[in-house]
Amino acid sequence: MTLRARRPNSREHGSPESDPAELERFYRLYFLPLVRRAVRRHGMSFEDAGDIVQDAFVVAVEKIDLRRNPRSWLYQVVDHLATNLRRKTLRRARLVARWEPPASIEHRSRLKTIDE
Amino acid sequence: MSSKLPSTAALLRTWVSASRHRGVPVPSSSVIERRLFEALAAVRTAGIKPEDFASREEVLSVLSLLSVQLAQAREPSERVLGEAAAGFKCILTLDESSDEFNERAELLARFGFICWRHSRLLGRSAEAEEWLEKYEIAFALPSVSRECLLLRLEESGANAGKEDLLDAGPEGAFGLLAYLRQCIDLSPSLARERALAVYRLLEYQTRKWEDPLSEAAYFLGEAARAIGGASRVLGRCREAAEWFATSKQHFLAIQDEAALANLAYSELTLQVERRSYECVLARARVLAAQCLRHGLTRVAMKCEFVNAFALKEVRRISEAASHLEALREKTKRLDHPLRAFVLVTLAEIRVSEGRYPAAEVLLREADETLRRLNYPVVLAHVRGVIAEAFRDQGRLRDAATHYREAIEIYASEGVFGKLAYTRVVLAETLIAMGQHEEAELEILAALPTIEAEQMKPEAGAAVTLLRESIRRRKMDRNALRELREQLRGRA
Repeated sequence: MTLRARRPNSREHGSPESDPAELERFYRLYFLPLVRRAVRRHGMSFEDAGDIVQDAFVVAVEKIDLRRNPRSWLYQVVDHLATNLRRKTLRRARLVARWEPPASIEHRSRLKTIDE
Repeated sequence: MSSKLPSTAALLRTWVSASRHRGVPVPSSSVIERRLFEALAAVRTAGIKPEDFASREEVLSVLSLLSVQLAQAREPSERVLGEAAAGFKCILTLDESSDEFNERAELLARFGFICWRHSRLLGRSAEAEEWLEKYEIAFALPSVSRECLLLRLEESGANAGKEDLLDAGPEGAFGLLAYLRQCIDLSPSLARERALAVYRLLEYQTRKWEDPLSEAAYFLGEAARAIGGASRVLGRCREAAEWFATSKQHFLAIQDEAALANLAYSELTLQVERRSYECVLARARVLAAQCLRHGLTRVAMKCEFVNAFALKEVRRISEAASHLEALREKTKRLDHPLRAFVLVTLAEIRVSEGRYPAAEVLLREADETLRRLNYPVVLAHVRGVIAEAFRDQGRLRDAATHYREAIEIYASEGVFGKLAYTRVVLAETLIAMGQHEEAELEILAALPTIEAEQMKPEAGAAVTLLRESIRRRKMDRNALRELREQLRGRA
């Protein structure tokens, strides 16, 4: 994992200078387990899961509640974002199927026949 | 799991700042799939071993992917069972260090669930029972996944019908049911409340399941059985019987013989609660044999215990003692409350025979087991047995102390039936000590529970007599004895 910390600028108040070893540790202890959680629980690809976890971290910077267990909080955010993505994908697929021109449906069924 | 809250927040900020506009490397799906393909090729010959992978991270990634594929299997499969068992075995050899989210426990539970599911569907009840036990052990381990599931149950409460409350599907339902079964003896009132919530959630959620493996009826039946079990412990016998009947309907719908045998055991315990001992004696041994045929060895042992308990209650003491001694031997390596129940019941017999040192040895071991397993309600029962031993020896002050300890636990756990009985016994002890006013207070505390819960209609006369004697400020000892006898079945 190679990820260098940027020098914090004035707009990113509160971003401390980072130690690459610390980031590496964070990657192993938090990022990867959360990616695997999204894969396990929601059956997504590792790549999509990586995006979801990154989004979860952005949410967490603003909203994490330190009085509660941050690990279960992060799990819940990842679950929530993954569920939303799944819903969106399903909805999009339904809409595409509804508005798909008849010709392409015909084409698809022909492909299916060839497959069989 | 360590707790480093402030540093986690700081690291999150640093991470987001450092990774903004840059791609963060994630394991490549195609690489992980290839590694999984290679690992599965070796399942039949050498199994899946952690040393075959480049790192712990890779093991977890590959097995996560495997668990997804196996969980999606649409029909009972020998292959799925074999691969899930190999995954379980591999995860078991991983160490628990540097596991912030305790993924090890999460994956163990997941593979355990898949193995249970397929062994059950393949009709192998004994194997399914073994996997259920392995699952329960894995699920009881602390993990963030378990925390999230229980947190959602707590938050959802009575809001059945809301979306996503149990979107964890059959696996989530299975976890909640394992939690409820564990909770019944630990905290029956909480278990009842939560089991009701789970049943309502399942009723709603299972309508949306695809359920290709026809598991919805099984889960509903188990949830109903859990409500019945908790109601029984709380002394709500009528409610328990109704829920057991509901459970039976669900299990009959899918002709699940093993689940029906398990339910029959639950119904047997209800007969014990109602003191229908002849009925228990007629049924228990037949049921034990039936359970053994289905490979349900633990349930069979429970039936044997109930049989011995009923023998004790009908005063066939020597038969009861010999059955309990045999069970004491059988449960030697069993780290389960059943072991403690056997020891306590045997101790009760020894107390009645005046063999106090033998009873003390048994009670000490039962006490240790229950403390280790954290079973407060049964611990309260042990306190009651010790108190009885002291009372028989004329050590009334010690007896009263132990009865009070039991009362405290029953009150905090909401076990009102046993609470009322113990108060009545304490009152008798206090009268024997000449402490009439304190005895009166105990009776006054017990009577509303007895009346409100309609615990024993036949105890009505004794209750009326006691109310009258309290009004006249002269305790009727016979009425008190009568009431204690009527309530005895509960304790």
